Amino acid sequence: MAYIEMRDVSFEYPGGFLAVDNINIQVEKGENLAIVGQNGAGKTTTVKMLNGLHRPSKGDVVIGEMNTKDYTTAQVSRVVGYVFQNPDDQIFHSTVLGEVEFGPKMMGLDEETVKKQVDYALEITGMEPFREENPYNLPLSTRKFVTIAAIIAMNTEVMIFDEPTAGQDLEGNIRLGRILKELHEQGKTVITISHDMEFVVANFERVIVMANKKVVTSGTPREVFWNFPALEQAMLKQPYVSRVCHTLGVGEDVITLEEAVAAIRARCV
Amino acid sequence: MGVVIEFKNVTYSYPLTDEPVIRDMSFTLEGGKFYGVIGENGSGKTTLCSLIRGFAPSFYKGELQGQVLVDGKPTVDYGPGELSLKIGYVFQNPFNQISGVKDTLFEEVAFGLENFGVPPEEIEERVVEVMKMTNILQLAEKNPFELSGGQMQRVALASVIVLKPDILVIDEPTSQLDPEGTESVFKIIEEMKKEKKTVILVEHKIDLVAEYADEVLVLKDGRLIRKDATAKVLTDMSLEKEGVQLPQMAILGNRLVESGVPLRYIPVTEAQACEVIGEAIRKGGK
Amino acid sequence: MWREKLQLHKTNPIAALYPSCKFLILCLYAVCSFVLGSIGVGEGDYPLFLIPWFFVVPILSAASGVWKRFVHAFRAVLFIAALILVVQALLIPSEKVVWQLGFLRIYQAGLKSGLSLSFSILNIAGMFVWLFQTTENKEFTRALEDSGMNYKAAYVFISSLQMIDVLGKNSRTIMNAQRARGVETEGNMIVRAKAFFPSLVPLIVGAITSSEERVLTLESKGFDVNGPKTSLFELKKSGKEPLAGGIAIVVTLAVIVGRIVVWVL
Repeated sequence: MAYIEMRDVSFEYPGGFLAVDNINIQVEKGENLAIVGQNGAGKTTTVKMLNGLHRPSKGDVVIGEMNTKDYTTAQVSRVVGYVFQNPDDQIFHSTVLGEVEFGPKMMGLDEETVKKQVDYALEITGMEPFREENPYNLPLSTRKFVTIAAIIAMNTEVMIFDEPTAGQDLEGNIRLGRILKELHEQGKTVITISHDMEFVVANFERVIVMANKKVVTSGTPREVFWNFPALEQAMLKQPYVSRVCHTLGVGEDVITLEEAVAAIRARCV
Repeated sequence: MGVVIEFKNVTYSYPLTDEPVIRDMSFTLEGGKFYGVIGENGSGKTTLCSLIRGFAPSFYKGELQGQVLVDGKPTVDYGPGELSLKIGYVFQNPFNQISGVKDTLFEEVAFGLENFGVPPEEIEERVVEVMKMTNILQLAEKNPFELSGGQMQRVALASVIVLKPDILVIDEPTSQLDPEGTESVFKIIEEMKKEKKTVILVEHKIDLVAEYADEVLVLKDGRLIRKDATAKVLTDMSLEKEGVQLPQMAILGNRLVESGVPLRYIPVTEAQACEVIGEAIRKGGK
Repeated sequence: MWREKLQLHKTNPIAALYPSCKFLILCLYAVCSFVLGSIGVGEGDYPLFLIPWFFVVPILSAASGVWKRFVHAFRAVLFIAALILVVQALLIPSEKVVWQLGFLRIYQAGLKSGLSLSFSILNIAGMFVWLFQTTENKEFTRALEDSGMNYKAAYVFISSLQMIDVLGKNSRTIMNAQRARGVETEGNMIVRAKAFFPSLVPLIVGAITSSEERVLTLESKGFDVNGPKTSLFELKKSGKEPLAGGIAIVVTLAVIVGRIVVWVL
């Protein structure tokens, strides 16, 4: 059995709106996974079921030994951390440090462990220099890193990021990539929703494609981004370099810049 | 068309801050052109937009040195509301652009025209036309707050376009939208370009800037470090050191040239890439 | 065509009354409530006339065709009024004890004050619920503007009404964000109270930052332009206003005269 199991899961909002329709997802411990799809495909609802913010209307969500049905959200959140899309929904302390400390303190960890985890989180997110700043004096794209640090400091087994690349510049994207790599090396299970296909190719081993409240396909970026029926169904496009290679008929499985250069070069020189 | 916007040695700082956000900036923008504004976060892109629209300094206060001219007249000399007929402004957050007093989308889009006292018959005509163009007419009777982000952003665009401004300032309209929403917003912006409006667009999605912009302005630490034709700016690899994301196609083109594949020019868009790389492959003869 | 579609076509004659006429009825009703509340009945001087008088509110709502919406919105008021009645009756001491069960005592003065306060609330809040359930936001806006009120003040009034819904939605999102960080929001009152503060800060900060953008949005749409404005929505009088207002005035006069008669006798 996989570490995270979503079995025949559906979710209906009060009022009858069906947001997720009978999906099955397995995630192994230590995997890093991206979820892609248009808005309304059910991505956010799916990850909210993973940390207990939503309870499935049908089916089971099991994390390790824990069926989310039997625990409160606060309890599930000790195992599954979730960074919201909008940082302003969660920041409420007047310093970055206070904000980042809040989670581990709520978990009742001893002072030393709290300090260790907080320092680590500030360090890898690059928020160390802003320790004593008021988060609301920082630009939105930096505030996002504050909320990421706040979750990393909780040192949960699973971490979920909801569209972390939105509004980030080149430097921000590179920094996010570094953080994801570091967490992966630490053996964390990371699940990220993203609209940026280049970012997905660069940072994830496995991709789940969602469309119309269902899972369309799942596989490595290479499998997914050359699966045209699935992409069409989800109304997604290939990464730019794959598109060019596809149009020109060079390299039937290119997803990175390096591969594209090699494939084109082989045909020219 | 002539110059519509001119910055003359503009330095601007927000109230209660020591550091200026815009430093000694001088440039002109021509009517009917599409300008992309790029640069790192915190480089002053949004402030630049506020200055053009006159929100800085008239709303934000702060200290302005130099002059920002719209149609030859300093922005500070325009009366309240006067600039809204010249410049349409669309913000990043679609949600905050809903007026909050209208029950239906149709009335929401009509809001600006009502404020300017346009006769109801004309309002109806113009609103219908704009809603068709922005593809929201089928939603006309919905409550504005019930829409998705992409739909709201289209409403935001529609409700400024309906005022028929000659200039559109659009600040990161798609950062909270999915690919489909992004595409629908860019379709509208493209339509504006066809109607010969002057468009000033701040956008992180560089591949889309490459596709649509005539010229690109690059900002860094409050200074304008480049302003030139899109193809020229976005193929300049040295900009990566300045924290500027370059289009995937330009990076690919540069790498190919470095690795010995001769290209007639460095592409910035997908269509250009297919063209020049296709040529190179045919010449390579394999 | 569209302009026609945007107008309201109310079939119920009471709901279709002009907003200012409904407001007049509300004010007169409040006056009657005060007058009736001042009549003491029986040994304890209880304001018992307020109780039958209160039935006017639900009857009026039913007659206006908004019974269901009225009940839905009125439940909270009912709860508060009941709470006030109980608390006052038990806690305001006087010599005379009306009823006793173990250590619980209902005093005469407490019962009088509780009845007076809770039924005043029911009467007046009930009428407000009726007013808001029979009148759409855009009717209020137009009526306020037509009455010569500054359009900015009218905007503030109406947008705050709309924002209540939006803030409610935001506060749910924020609560969720707090739960995701280990704050218990499910459970007893103390647990909920503890969760209250963390959720308040983002709500307020969010409201402030969004209001800044909203101001600029309004400015972008020419809200500040001096000069005549037009409106797609036309607010018309239904023609029954003199009749409705007349009935209200006659009833009020009757109540006042009745009061004076009781007084003199």
